Amino acid sequence: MNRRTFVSGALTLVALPAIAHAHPVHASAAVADVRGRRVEITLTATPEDLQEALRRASGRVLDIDTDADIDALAHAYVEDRFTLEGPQGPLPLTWVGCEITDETARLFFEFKLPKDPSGVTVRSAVFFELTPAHINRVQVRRGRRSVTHRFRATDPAAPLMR
Amino acid sequence: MIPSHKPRAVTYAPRVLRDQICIVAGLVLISTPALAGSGGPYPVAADPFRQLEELLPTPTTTRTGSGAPGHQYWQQDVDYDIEVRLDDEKQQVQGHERIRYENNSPDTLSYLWLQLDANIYSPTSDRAMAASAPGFDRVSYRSFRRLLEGLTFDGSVKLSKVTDKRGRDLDYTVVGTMMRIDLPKDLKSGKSFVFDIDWSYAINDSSKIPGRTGYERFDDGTIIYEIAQWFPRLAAYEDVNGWQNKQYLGAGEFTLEFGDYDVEITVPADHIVASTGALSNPRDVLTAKQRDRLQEAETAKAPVFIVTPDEAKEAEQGKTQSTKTWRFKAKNVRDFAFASSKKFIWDARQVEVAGEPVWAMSYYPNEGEPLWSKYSTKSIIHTLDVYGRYAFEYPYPAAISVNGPVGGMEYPMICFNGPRPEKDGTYTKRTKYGLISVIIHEVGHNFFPMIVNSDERQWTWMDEGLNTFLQYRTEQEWEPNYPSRRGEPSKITDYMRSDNQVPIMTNSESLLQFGNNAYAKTATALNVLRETVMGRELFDHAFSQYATRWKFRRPMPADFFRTMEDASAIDLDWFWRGWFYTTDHVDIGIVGITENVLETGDPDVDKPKLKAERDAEPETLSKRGDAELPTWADSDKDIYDFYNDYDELDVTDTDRKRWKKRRSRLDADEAALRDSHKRFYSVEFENVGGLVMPIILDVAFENGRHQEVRIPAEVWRKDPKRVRKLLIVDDPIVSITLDPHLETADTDLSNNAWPPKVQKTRFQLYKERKKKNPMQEAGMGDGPKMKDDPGPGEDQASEGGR
Ligand SMILES: [Zn+2]
Repeated sequence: MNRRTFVSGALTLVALPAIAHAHPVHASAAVADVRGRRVEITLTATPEDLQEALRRASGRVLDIDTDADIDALAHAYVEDRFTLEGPQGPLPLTWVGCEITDETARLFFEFKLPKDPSGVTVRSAVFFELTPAHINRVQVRRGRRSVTHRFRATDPAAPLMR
Repeated sequence: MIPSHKPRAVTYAPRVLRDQICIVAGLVLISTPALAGSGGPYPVAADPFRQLEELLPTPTTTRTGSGAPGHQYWQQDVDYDIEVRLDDEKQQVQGHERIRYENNSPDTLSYLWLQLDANIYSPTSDRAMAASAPGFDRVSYRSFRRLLEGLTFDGSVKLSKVTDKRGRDLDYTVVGTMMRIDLPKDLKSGKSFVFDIDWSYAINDSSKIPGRTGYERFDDGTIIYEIAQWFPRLAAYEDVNGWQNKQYLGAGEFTLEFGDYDVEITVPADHIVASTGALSNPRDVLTAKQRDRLQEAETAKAPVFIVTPDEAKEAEQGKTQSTKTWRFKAKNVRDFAFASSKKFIWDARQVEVAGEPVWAMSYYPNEGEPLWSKYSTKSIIHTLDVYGRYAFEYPYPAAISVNGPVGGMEYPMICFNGPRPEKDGTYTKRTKYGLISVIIHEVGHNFFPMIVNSDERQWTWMDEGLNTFLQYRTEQEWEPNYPSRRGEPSKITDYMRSDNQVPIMTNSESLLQFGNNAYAKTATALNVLRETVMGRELFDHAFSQYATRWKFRRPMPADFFRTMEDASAIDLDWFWRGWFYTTDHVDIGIVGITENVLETGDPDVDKPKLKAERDAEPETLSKRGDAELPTWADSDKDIYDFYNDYDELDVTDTDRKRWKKRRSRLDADEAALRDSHKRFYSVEFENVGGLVMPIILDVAFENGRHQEVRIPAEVWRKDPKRVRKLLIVDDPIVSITLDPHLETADTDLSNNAWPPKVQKTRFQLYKERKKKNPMQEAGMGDGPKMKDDPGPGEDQASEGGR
């Protein structure tokens, strides 16, 4: 069952921030290190956001600190929501693993760029299903150069390198 | 910048020495040239030590240059008498209020501004209109339901009466979440105006429209109400900005006036009400048993159930048409909130604060158990204790934590906190600490901004940042190794390094990232200030001075900056400028190190040493290539003379005579210094990130000893980009580490070591670690690599998108 998908037509939509705290703190941060043709990505999120996202995606009450299949679920989740796309289509994602501590959840994965990486776009749509107010930051580093993208639900993709 | 190290280079000729190296008469201290030139003159505008005067407002009679309230400080006074009815059938609030507004300002007012926060729940509100529409390639049903509700739900304020105390209508205009009442005649300084308002509004269902207030309906139809921002409240009128009548858009919170409240809350007779203030009619609303238990709780050592879990369960089953009216009075508060439900378990314990009794109480449904009875009230008491030591002793008669639909929100004496265990009563470690942390945070808000009444709508950091800093301290005093989220400098480096930031000194609605900016960056800055820049004692004194000066008053950012300096005698302008007014980050690197040797001066000691060093230098490639080259001299030895045999490093009689003469001129101290075998290391640092910070070094010596060197940030005064520091030591240095305790939020550790160390990224470290399990790391077995690790360079594609 594809419960999460709903394609909206001509509706006017209004963003309602979900306030779980005096101020909503809904953000993830990713660092993408470009080394030659490899892009190594570390995505950092709050463990609560990741747990909630995996609960929704799997449809069961799980504990990201103890459940055995978190690695596989997290892999499937980023595969779906964090993409690099070239002119020939999506680039394959290689899962490295995840690390969950008291304070943060970190997901590690990588992509291999095509020979000409100029047309590649990066899209981070993680956690937008939890609240439309979510923001995903992706810092792309290549040597000493760095550019940071900020993605919102309205605007989840950008050229990888400017 | 990769640090480099040159082997010591020695030249046998006295030189003019640079920098802070002192010249000792008669002794020769030799220095190799710096590896890179100093940054040279820099524009004045870039001077991080420039004083803040140009940015801070000019001191006035209401706010002094030392950061204290001035001799003519004033603030308005607003008292409220309110009767409110909670309609449990229609989920509505109906209220009547009488407001007494006292104009303590020196100004004459011709109108008053009031806040109607519930207007944010109008489908045509500025918040709804200004919010950008999400791009939905996919929407959950829950999100979609929320969106539809948002389009149709009208929770705005319906005003049925706005009159003076004699019942004569007042002219008023509603502008979004603000209402202006035009006064029948000007309100002069020192005079007061009394008026009445009747209003009602529909309460938002939190499952569809979450917010800082709302109701939660459970599967069996029972409801918890958390009611806040519910009555027309006076906007602040103050000495700096006049009326604070910025619209309520959802992110920026409030700023309000202090006053006394007398509130009568009418609810279904089976409800328990938790509220700001002290209950003044317990006989009307509590059973004899409940009153007895309260009396027991006055002296109990642990929280006592006033309503037990079983009693709450029983109440959930009942149904009543009758009502009860709970009356609460609160003195000197800036706002008033309450919660009501028949689901509430209620536990309480009275503690003594500064000789006065304070009720620490928690209200929660059975769905919150067993977590809430174990941790909530204890967390409240602990918070009052720790904040009391850092700020001032808690001055109110109650501190309350309520579990309901709101995830975490603070009001005077009462706060709403969301975490609950799973349906089966188990809970994760994460939920447990999440609950304790949010209670500490929200109870802590009583101090900032409920009592130190900063303007939340304008400056989020003044309450969230200061509060998060003390939350961190309180968590660390709860139990050893408490998993705090924010406060440690190393936890914010990822954020500080990124682009697209705004300074902390940015209006609340414009803050790009609330969590990182107003909360974490401020808390980290204060932590760095306390641990690294000022020291705990000075910081704690200055911080509590700020809190005490502005208790029950309205501070502005400059009052905080100035008080911290005024109370400590430390010029912190560079710190405020860097951390609060810029988006610079900390990245200091070691550029290079030069070792300087002190020569003995005795040519029979020094020259042979130098000669050996020179002869040991490797032959250059071109020299080696030219070795076999035929030269003129092969056929004409006549071109050789004295200089062809002369070696400047041979010891001559003249050298010995000169040395004898010089030695006879050395006094005892100079001779002792010469024989001390001191070593001189000139270390050059570069400020890559722009934020000036103290330089903290761990120096490791050849003999295994370590020494910590702490150089204050003022070292950057002459040149904010590059500095050189001389270390005079007894033993050879083998390595130097910058920021060894990760206390300065240095964002790039790759340039923090000499000799340089390759700094791996988090990604690389993780990948390496994952290759081995702990047994393999311990050298046991030589098992295969983990299945899901493709190894570097492999191109193992996973299955495509599902
Ligand atoms: Zn807060």
